[in-house]
Amino acid sequence: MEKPHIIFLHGMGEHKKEDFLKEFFTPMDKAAAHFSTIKPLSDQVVAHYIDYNELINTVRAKIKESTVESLSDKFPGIPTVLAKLNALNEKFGKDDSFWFTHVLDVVIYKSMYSDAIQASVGKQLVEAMQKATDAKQDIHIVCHSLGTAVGHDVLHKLYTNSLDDDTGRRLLSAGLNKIRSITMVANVCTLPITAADPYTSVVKPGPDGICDYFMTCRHVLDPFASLIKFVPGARWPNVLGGEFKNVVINGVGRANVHDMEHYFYDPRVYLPFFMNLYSPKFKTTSAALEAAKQAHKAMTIQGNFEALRTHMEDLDITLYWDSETGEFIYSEDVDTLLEKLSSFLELIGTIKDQIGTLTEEEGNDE
Amino acid sequence: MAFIPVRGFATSLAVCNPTFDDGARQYFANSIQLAKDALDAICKSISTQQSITETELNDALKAFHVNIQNQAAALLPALKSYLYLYDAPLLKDSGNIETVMMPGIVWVQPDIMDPNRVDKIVFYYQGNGRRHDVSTSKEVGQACFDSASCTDTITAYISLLKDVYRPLSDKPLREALDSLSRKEKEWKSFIEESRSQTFVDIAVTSWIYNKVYDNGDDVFKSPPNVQWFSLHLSPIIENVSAAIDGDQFKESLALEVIGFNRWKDGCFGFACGASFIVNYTDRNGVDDAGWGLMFHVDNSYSFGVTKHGGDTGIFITVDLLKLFQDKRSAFDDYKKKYREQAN
Repeated sequence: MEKPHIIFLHGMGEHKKEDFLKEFFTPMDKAAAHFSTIKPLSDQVVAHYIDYNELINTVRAKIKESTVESLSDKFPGIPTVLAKLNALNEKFGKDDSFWFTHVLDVVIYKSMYSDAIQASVGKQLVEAMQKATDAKQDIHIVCHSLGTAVGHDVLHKLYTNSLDDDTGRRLLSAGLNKIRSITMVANVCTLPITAADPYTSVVKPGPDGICDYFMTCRHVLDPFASLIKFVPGARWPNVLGGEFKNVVINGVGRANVHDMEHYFYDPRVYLPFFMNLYSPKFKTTSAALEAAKQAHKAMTIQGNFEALRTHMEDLDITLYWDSETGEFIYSEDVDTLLEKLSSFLELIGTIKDQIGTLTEEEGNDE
Repeated sequence: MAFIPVRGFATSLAVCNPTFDDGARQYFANSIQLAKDALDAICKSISTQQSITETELNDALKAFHVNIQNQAAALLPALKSYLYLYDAPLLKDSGNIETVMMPGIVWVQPDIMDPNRVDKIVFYYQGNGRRHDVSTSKEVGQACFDSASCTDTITAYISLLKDVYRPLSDKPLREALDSLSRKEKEWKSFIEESRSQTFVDIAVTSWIYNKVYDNGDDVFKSPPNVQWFSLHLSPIIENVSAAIDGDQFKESLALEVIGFNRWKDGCFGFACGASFIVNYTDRNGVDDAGWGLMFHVDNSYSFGVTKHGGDTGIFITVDLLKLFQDKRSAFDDYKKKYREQAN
């Protein structure tokens, strides 16, 4: 049975394989349920998870070793600047707050350890590609957040580096080792993190690229992906709107719009992903498409406000004088009136819950 | 044609297993035997155990291509004028490097919200360089996409072509894996064995490392041979004999202003390094501030000399002191056991 292989590359912060894959498969399985031509994705693909979090944690543990513990107690006369440097070093080593996990990941990736990360990720990536090739299956890559920069750099090096021998041959070949699709979710490749220029590197579709399909996704409120937008423009000729898909979403279903799961709940993300994964077998009806769009709308604040507006317009209850009976009458009968009011209140409840969830999530660092 | 792929692997590769999917068997049943022969020829050409001549390889591939192209032309008449791309074996000379091309297909779907729309189908083959492709018109592409038999046939056709050439994609993957495994091992060794660095040391080492290794290539780099240190604090135990009794032996804090450490094979097979340090200790009889040299051995232990005005001091780091204490403790344990046994 055909089972495409999907290789996943996580983003900043602490990640566990099971949780990360769940963030992908939960929304994708729900999305697949809308279409009769595809089955739940979790049963239909082989997932490979690439981890570089462990390596970053080892580096942090090493930084921690270099900290002088209880410095100010042991040496009370120490100059403030040195005490502060030592304190900062201690935080880099063991503080688990957002700035010292997420941001430090980026700092470490900007240091010489980027080469350690790339070697480790490259090895795991090639291992996964080998398994897909052995199984005679297509290779798809999904990267999230910092993983987009890491994945980009590793892929560029894999397809442009020569072997350490006299042959001059590249490590991998754009033809023989073609990747079927690359999906960059919350793409940060344009930030000054990547080693190679993401517009001129080989990590692109088309005649000069290493993949058949390339998709980049950003949420308009995602600060990491929207700070410097990924827009290759004329530098990627003839691929826009087909081989290259530039997806921009704006629906808000939760406070953390940077979250990978939040991206994959959006049909603007999962529909082109299904196309890249299953083409030409993924076909559907306009009714199924509409149902999928409406289901997502119901998950977003914008969608629910729009529904509320429609409900309010639909209520349109008037009180008028009936000259025949000689009394005031409502334009709707009592049952219809109660029904409409009840669904109106239900919708307000949903919006209230959604806003409540967002407020609760404010405590979430991300 | 001067192509014979470099031999390196046995034909036991999973991709040399001559099984083809149901689609290929359904639509190209007459090509299956020739596909097996072509696959076998390619696998033999990369095998260390079996041999095949260049002519035999080409003949097997040609026979397969002629056969499958005839079948495809009959099954896909609307696409006949595009499939000429695969009329001949996909082997090309590129400079001195002989390379193999891999067939591929792209369904260009322009609207991310409409999976039923197709602008064109791109057929291509590509080696290490630019892709050679041919695109259908919008009408032809959409008509094929809308027909289940057309999409199934074209999928089976491209899969069969890919299955025949796929063994050749195995070699680069294996070689890349070997190369990256070596790099990963080097970095693991660096992270585990090298001297601990603060974030300032890492920043300084990274800056120098990038300057040294920046040769314009985007290469997978090995770890640096030399670690650099700056503003690195280390607690030390210092002895200044000129100080008054009771103040001679004191704990102090050394600041490595600048230093280096060859973390592997620095001095006669051992890691070694040196740093210029300053330190400060409140003592009677000598200057409180001092400067000196700190020497590092085995990525873990440091010792050195200091000058406090005209007076000389010697020091070891707390880590080295602990090592001595551990050794002393081990020696004491050994002595105790020896005496117990002697008694």
